Amino acid sequence: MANKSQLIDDIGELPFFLFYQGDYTLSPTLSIINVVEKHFEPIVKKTSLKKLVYLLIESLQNIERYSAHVASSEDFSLIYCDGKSFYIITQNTIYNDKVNDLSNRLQTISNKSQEELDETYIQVLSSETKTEKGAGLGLIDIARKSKNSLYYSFDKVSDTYSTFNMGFSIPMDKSMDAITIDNTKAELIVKEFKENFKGNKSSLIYGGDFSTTFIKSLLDLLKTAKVNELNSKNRKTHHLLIEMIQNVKKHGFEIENKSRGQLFLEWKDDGLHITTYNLIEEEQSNRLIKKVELLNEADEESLKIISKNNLQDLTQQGGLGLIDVATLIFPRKIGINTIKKSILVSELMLSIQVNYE
Amino acid sequence: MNKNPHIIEATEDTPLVVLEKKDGVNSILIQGVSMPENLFDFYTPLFETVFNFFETDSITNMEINVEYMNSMSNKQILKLIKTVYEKAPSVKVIWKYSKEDDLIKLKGQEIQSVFPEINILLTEY
Repeated sequence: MANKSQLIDDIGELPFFLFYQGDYTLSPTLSIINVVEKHFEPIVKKTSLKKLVYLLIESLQNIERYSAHVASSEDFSLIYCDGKSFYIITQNTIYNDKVNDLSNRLQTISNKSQEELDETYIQVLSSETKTEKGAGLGLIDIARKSKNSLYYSFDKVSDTYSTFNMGFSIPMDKSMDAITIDNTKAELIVKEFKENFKGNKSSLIYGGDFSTTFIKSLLDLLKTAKVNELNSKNRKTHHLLIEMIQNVKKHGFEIENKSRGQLFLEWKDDGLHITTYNLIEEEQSNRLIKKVELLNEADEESLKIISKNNLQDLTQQGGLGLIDVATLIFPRKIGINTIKKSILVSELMLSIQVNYE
Repeated sequence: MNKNPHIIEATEDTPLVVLEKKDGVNSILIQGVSMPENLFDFYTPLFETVFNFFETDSITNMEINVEYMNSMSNKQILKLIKTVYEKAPSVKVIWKYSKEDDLIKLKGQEIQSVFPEINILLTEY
């Protein structure tokens, strides 16, 4: 996991992030919004959340509607907050013959003041000229509502298509309007995401509270937006995710309001790779290593015996989760990596691979 | 003696529970999702509710039909089955599982193996 360590360090500082790279023809917008909304509902004002959701819908549907969809690994969205602002960054492929038109429109928007943007919005809204997919209002509205913090770039990939990156940010609360938005940091984080996951068919990376609410919204996302991935809708994958995520919830902890842990779902050619990362007490870390070693050494019959023994002991509450994981992925093994951070705390990474079936 | 059913509605992370006394059949249904973050907040009062509802009457049927169940819930359900059996050894337990769901099926088989004396029937749907 050494190549992920810088990313983990950088995004670990964030109380929330959600990165989804994949096939946007399957309309993941509502599922992604569900994850974001459920997380922020209890903690931000209704008006701020409404604004965020509105802009998210515009941004994600931009990908769904306007991407060339030539390579699902090149389409992604990243939503995160740093405690003061929400950042929304998207990328989609675009046919080269459409680049100039979009670039010109964005240049025009960027040059407008807030008042001019408001006027343009009304003009376009009342205009009878509409494109096949929309009236062009989306970008204008994003620029308006983000106080024109919008930035963008185009990168040529081939003779046929380029990638279009767009980003903007809004304060978490109106009272924070004067805060300086750190777009440099956003660009750095996006670069790290792209470098780490460019080889994947699809990726979902999350950092947040690991609540049951999140689990449910994640399972919904898998059932709808990953409907073409065989193992995304099967129960085995769901059971594994529940155990891995609740492990983080149980054992992981926050320091200074940073995310409790991180979840990496990576759909690669050889299967779905699930990795969790969290901080853990040093003592627990040692016990966990021993337990995983025992489970990894066991054959199928031994795992059944270990499970049965654990079940029979009704006085002992925990311990069954990892046994279930080991049983479900057998003959594959649970990957475990711990790094001591201090006398009391270690970093823990658990990883498993699920075959496509 | 018949009694109005006692229903505990399902939530995002706890199952539907229906307790019924009707025409001599005393039954418990546990259905849905069980993955509460605070396990004992749900299951401790549930145990009390079950045995207060049925009082001295024997529970004749239990139906367990969970779609998702974390490992700690598994233990609590097992504990409930065992406690019911101790009070009513003739209880019939129906453990339902979806044909796509190897884990829930496996959990049913494990419970049969751990408690061979309990009448547990695995039913695929």
